[in-house]
Amino acid sequence: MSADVQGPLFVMLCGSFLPGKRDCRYYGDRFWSGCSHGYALHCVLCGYLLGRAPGEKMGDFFSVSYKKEGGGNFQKIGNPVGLPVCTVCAGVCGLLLAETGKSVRDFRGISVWTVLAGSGDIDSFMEQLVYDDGECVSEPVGRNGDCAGAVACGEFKSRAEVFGKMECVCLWFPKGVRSWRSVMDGGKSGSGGDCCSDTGGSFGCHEKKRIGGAAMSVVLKDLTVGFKNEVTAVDHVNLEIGKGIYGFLGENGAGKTTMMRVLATVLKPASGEVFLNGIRYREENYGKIRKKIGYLPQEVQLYPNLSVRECLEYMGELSEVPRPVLKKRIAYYLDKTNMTQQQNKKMRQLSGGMKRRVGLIQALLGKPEFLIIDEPTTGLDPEERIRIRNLLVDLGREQTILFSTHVVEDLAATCSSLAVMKKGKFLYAGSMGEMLDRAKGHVWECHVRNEADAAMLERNYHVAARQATERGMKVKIVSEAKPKADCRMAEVTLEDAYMYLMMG
Amino acid sequence: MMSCPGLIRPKPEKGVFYMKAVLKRELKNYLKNPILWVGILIVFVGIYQSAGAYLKLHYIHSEEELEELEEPDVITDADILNGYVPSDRSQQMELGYQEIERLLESEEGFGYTKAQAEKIVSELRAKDMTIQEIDEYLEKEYCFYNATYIFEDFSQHKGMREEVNGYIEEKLKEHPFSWYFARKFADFCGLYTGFFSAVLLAFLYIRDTRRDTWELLHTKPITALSYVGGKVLGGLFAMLIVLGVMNLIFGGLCMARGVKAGFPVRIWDLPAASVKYIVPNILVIVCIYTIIAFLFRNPLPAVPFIFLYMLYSNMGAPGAASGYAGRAFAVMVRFPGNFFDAAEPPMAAGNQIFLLMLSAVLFALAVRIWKRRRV
Repeated sequence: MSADVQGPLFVMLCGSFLPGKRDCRYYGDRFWSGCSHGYALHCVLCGYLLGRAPGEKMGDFFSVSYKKEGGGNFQKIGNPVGLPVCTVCAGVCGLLLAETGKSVRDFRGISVWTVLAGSGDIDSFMEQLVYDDGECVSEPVGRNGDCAGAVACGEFKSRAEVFGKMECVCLWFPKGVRSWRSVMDGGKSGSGGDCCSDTGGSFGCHEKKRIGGAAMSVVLKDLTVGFKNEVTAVDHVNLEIGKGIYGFLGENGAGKTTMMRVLATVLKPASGEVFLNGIRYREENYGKIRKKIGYLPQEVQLYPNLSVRECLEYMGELSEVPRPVLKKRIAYYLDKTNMTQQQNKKMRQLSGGMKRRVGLIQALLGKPEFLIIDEPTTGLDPEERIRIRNLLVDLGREQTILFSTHVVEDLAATCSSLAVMKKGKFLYAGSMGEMLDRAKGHVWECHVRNEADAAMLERNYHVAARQATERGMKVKIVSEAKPKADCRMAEVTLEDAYMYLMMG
Repeated sequence: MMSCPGLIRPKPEKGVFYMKAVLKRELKNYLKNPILWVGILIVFVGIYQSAGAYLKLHYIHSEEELEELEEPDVITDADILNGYVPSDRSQQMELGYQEIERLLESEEGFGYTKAQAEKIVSELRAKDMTIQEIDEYLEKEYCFYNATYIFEDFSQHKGMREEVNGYIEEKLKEHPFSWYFARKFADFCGLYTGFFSAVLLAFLYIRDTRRDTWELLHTKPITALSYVGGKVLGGLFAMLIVLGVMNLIFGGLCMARGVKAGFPVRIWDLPAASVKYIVPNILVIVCIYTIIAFLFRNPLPAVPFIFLYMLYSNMGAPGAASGYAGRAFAVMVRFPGNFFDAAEPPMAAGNQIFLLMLSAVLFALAVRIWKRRRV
């Protein structure tokens, strides 16, 4: 790695001196960078400073600029208010360190552009930066110092794949901050009020929330969805979903898809409330919400006359993803879903599984914070199912994913929490482990001599599985009490736990 | 939010950028659709068959050349192309009397003797009646019906070489050749592109209104204005491609033939006529498609509706005093009549302005429906 210092522009990296037992990933996108002109360096990152100043909280560093002094110390620079916008300040944190295994000292004094782009070409780096303002907008950085504070973070797998998946956070005004000055003072001083209102620009508010540690969440309160034929598809449901993959399981017609359509803003609930990261589902907020969600419906054919790439480009543009970013994202997700070879094929030429993968990619293009996917693995061969599951697990580290499927195996492999629905209500909502625990002691493996005995068991018990063996038949039974046959307690699978729940 | 010193939020892409993206996608789709190209061919053939003959107009150099000009099947179809020129009243009356006399004498007709026929016609001449009065008189006295038509047939007559050239010269002093041709072009191009748009624009929403795609589109953050605007402009521009190609071809032909014939020509006459008499029609058709597609979640109900609307528009207003008058709210401006007499129908300009306003209203409604249908 080059150790060239790029003139006055350099940044320090966070990550290695994090407080407590948090690892670098925890601060992956919780940066703050403040900049001003006239100083050689004005970028402050989290983590490192927190580590150096254990008494202070993250908020104390909001927008405070630091200048590197000789000997590697950092001097706090005052209020940059009124100073011209600096060219760019950027910090890199989190996974870069984690992935490279290097210490922050290894990066000290190295231009971020050198680190990221290798070439040290600032312009190319500027073009690559993607701002996720946390509220809705992903956009390229303006070239003329439009954004002074920028933080690049995310998954930098290696220098070669630096821009494969990168998220930059541009922070503006934390919730409750009334003025730039109060930001500069870490929220301690009074209001100046010449810059922002206390509503603060939505994304500032949101970011503060994230910095404060609250993860992305979806909350359903007493949600009811009915149809014109007086069928209640979802019946007074309450649920809270946090970051990660949340599974939806249930029989056909249980209300899973209806609920997902509500969350995707396709359907309006009859009553109850839905919140996405504190934003209530209502007409005036749908614009914001739609920028945060990605949706893969149960069936989607898309445009048969378009090639895969054209189709994805179109869907990405509808998701308001800027072109340069879109092209990179398409390439990235095509690769991740093993669809690169098929990118020039017409949509009508694709198999059902391939269409499903294209459907999933289109849902991901907007870099949604909340991904709603209805049976994404339907029609996929085992290898592709595993690939998609792995992709979802990767995404689940950063995003909230609601994942509905009939394939219990997929849920078991991806989710840590799930909800089981029946007739519009939740039979269960919680962790996978707890659901398995509930069924513990109620799943039995019985050996019978022949078909007739197996059939008799089937008449009296819920049979989860039947298998012919050399000695006769092995039957898996879900039952409160031990069956009378030759049975012993069996290991509980998610399928068994589901059966147990459905038994009521 | 006010801007912040020291830290300025990067400007997001404007909605119009995404509208452009939708528009570009639609245009690409249309350019790849063979129906567009087949349609262009059909429209070209249709216009050429109908208006191509006017491109052959030229000064007559000899009487033989005049004789060689094609005779129309019926005299009412005759035009300057056939060497016919408008008659003045005395010519019209004289030719009419001669024809009446011939009919009175003929065996298939009334079978009067030559003397009797001459006497009847002399009476008519002496009384110096109007055509209407002659019609009534002959009907009452001799059971000779519809004399009016005879005189109408002689509203123009086969001219002599000097007469024909003089008439052309006189008319070209008023407007250049391209101005007259532009009206005939607008007449037929409006007709063919109107019907073609009813077919081509069905593709604009056919995929988007499938249930699965419709739902998915409604979860995308693109604004209603950007989406609907992109779609409408996409449809309009696709039809403008057709119109542009026709303008290029027929504009080029008009220039070439006009210059060759020694006629004055102007390059902007065809495009100007297209913009005035055709573009508002196409725009309103696109907007009708949009609103019907959004209302029914299917663009196909628009097809019969547009066809009926086109038929209504093509009929012309009944009983118009000055010959042809367009229907109110028509999506077609016709220029019937002879080449040099193709005047703009009354209220055509007002009607075209109304169509533009109607398009704006339909567009606003479509945006509203799209928003409301989102949830």
